Order: sequence, then C-alpha cells, then structure tokens
Amino acid sequence: MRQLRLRVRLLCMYAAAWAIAPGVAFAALEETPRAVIQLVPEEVEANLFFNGAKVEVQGTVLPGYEVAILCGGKASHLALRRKGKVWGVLWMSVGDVAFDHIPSLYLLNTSAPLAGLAPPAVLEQLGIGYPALAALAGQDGEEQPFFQELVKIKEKEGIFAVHEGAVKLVPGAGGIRQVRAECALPSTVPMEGYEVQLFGFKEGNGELLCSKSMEVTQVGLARFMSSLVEGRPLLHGVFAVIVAVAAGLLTGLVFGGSSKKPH
Amino acid sequence: MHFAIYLPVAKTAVNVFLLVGLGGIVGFLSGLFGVGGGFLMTPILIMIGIPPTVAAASDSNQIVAASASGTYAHARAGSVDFKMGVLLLLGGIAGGGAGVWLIKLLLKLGEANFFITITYVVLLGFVGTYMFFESLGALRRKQRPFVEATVDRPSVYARFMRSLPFKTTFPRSSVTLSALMPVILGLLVGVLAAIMGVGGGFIMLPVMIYLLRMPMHVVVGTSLFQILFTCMNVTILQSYVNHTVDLVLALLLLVGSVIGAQVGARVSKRLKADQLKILMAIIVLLVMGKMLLDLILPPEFLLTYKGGH
Repeated sequence: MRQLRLRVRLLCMYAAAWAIAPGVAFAALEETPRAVIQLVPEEVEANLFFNGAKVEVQGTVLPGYEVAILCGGKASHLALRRKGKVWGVLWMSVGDVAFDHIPSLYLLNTSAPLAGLAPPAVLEQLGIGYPALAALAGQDGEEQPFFQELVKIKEKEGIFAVHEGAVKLVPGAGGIRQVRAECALPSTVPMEGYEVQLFGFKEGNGELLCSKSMEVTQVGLARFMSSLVEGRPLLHGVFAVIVAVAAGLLTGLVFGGSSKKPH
Repeated sequence: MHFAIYLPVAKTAVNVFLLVGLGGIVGFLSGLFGVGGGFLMTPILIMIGIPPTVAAASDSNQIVAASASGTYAHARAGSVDFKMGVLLLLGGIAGGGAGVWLIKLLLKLGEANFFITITYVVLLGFVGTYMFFESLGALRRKQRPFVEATVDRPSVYARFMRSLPFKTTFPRSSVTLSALMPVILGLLVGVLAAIMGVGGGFIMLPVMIYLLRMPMHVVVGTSLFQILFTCMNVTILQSYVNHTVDLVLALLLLVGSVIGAQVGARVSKRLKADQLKILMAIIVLLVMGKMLLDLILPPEFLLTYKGGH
C-alpha cells in the first residue's frame, strides 16, 4: 500500500513536470535577449593623427531575423543654398532649402537588400533607408531631388552610407546567429555621442531589438586647439596672427641675406 | 591616407604634403604678383573637404604669413611704398565696412548676386584683356616702361588727378598726386572685395598700375603690405566672431607659403616690368575664366553649404 502511494506520487510529479515543462522552456526563451551587440571600441578618440576609425559591431540574434545596423547621430535642422539657372544660362545660388531631422551621421548596414527586409511603410516608420529619411526631413514629392543632392554631398563626406548585405550572419550554437558588421567613421565625423541600433525584421515586420551608445571625442592637442577656439576666440585669433607674422618674418630673415634692389 | 593630419576646427583629416605643397604654390604667386591667392586657395581647400567657412578664414591666416614674408623681402629691396600702402589701407578698411553694409542692401533687391558676379567678371575680363594687350604691345615694340609713357599723355583722368587737393609726393613710387586718390581707390576696391568675398589683390594691382601710376616692382611690394594688414584684421575677426580659423591648417599652409613667397619675390625682381605685367594680366584673365566657368558649367551638387567665398 505504501509503495502504491509512492508510485502514485511519482506519477503525479512526472505528469506535473510534463505539464509545466513547455512554460518553463518558454520562460527561458523569453529571458534570452533576441539580440545583443557589443562595440569595439565603444569610445573613439580623435587626436591630431585621427584619420577616421572603424568600429566593429559584434553580437548575436535569434534565428529567423534579418537585421539592419544603424550608426546614427543626433538629428537637426539644416539649411543649404540651392543652385539654379539664372536667365537660363548661368548657375548661381537662387535660394535656400531647409531640411528637418537630418542626422549628423547615418551609416546603415543590412544583412539583406532593403526591399527584402520589410514593406516601405515599415522601413519608413523605423527610419531605415534614404526614402525613410527623406520623409522625416519633409522632403518628399517635388522636393525629393534636393534631398537626393544632400545625400550625394553627405555620402561624399562619408557621413552618410548605406551598405546592403554588409552585415554577416553566421550560424552558431543552438541556432543563434552571430552578427558581424563594421561602421566606418570618416575623419569628418562630428565629435558627439552616437547610438548604434540593431533592428530585426521577420515576416514583413520590423522592430528595434537592441542598441548601444558610442562616443567620439577629441583628445590631446586637437582638443586643446578646439577648446581654445571655442573658449577664447579673440586670444586664438591674435595668437594665430602673431604666429603667422613671426613665421613670415623669420623666413624673410633666413632667405633675406642676398636681397637685391629691384631694377 | 598616409601622412594625414586631423584638423581640429575643420574636423577632417588631410594629407600633410598636399597642404604644404599647396601653400608653396600659392605663396609663390603671392610673392611674384603681390596677390593674396585666396581666389585659388579657398576653392581648392573646399574641394579637398574643408568646410567653406573654415577654408576662407584659415586661408586669411595663411595669407598673413605669406604676405609678411613677401613684404619683408620687398621692403628689404626697397620696393614697398609704405606711405601709399597706409593710405590705400585706410580706404580699404572703410570700403570693407561699407561693402558689407551694401551687400545686405543689394540682397534685398532680389537678383543682386547675379548682377554683382556678372559685373565682377566683366570688370576682370576688361582689365585683364587691356593689361595683356598693353604689355604685349610694349614688349613687342620694346618701348620705355608704361608708367613713363602714359604720364605724358594729357588725358581727362590726368587732368582730374591734377585738380584734386592735398597733393603729396610719394618718393618710393616717384609720383605726386592727391592723398585723396589712394584713399578713394582703396575704398572702392574695399567695397568690391567685401561684396565679392575675396581679398581683392587682383583688383588692387591694375588700380595701382593704371590709376595711381606706380612702378611695377613697387606695386607688388605695396600690394603685399596692404594685404598683410587686411588679412590680419580678417583673421582676428573670423576667429572672434565665427570661430572658423583652424591654426593647424593655417600652419601647414604657411610652411609652404612663406618659402614660396620668398621664391616668388626673387623671381619678381628678375622679371622686366612688362613681363611681370603680362603675367599678371594672364592671372587676372585666369581668375575671370574660372569664375565664368563656375557660372556656366553645371555644378557637381545643386546644393552648397552656406559661407565661404
């Protein structure tokens, strides 16, 4: 009788274990972040020998996702001069064009072509791709050509870039995939904080899965010079003139030994 | 890019040798012709990725060094008319202020930009062509220098000059004229330079040669002397008001330009007056040609950042 009770108890425990097992497994799955990223380095230092920097984005993402990694800066209002033809012949500045929400940096890498990630409306909502940026900037419809010109200028500066298929997804243990990408910061990168965001796309939907902050700062002599310009501009200007005059006169003295009177 | 250096105000990296070499070429032209060279340097700096406002301001700083170097070389050779230079400078500073005010007024009138540029191109084209053919003729005929030839000619302008009060002698230039002349002409050049956003060295040269009738070699040295003070003023103002002077950029440019200016000043002394004048005419025509091409050829981008020349 006692043995029978023990067997029934074990059977109940076994049945209970089976009943709760999927829940435990699901909870375990829920706790596992859908994506994580690390930046190497997290802080970029610009000294006098700074010539741009490469920031490696490493991480993992759950199976089934395509990803987009965006290294983006603060958005602000931007006004530029517009060139046009005057009297149908001469190219001159003919007015201003203003853009809203133009990021100070926009380096986008994706694991697949943009069109294959999600429908345009989803990409636009997340700010992924130039058409999404154009909509944010208030430059759609007839003003679109000016936004394209802005993109051309920013791409030449290295501030904007879109690399489709540049994110590598490598299958790892348990189906989790390793994420590898690179953000090439140009030397023109503004000195400020940035956000590196990883967006996941699955079955036509997209969402921000994780993000990491990154800082670009001037250090050493470069920092000293810019802080002098910003903090003591008059002193900087006078110093610049004294240095220039001294350099000019010194060279004059060095070269001046054999000066002849003009004819 | 190897040997790149980061410019803390321009916030970009540029090849060191490119900057030094560029400074050398522009400094040479500066010492040779007595121009600042901003018309050449600023667009090149913008082309290599320096923001327009930083390019223009740092170039002014570099011109201070090149013109100090050139002025020193010319002063040692006795080819700077300080008296004339100071009077031109007084007019130039007043003209610069008036020009800044005038441009605001003109911009309100609509297509002012267009008319200013066209006037400038036409003016440079006219002056350059006149200088070119005049010196070419003189070289062919192997006549006496232009200055002596024209002073004898009793023109309306000569009569007007003689009628002005405050006559004074400029021994270095060997001319006697009203002290008002250099002040007024300096003022006009200052207005034009401020409106166009350039130093104005190549407008000042024909003014000195044809209107003030100064000898060629004194023209170069005196122009450099005047440019030195104008650019000192601009550099301090740009640093103070706009924070756009990049000292690292200016230093690299001036390493080349101070040496270039010395070489240019020496070559200038070896050239005959008409040879120098015909080369100046070519430079003026090249500037005019470049401005015309900028106006006619479709730009690389339909948008530009604000500021710069």
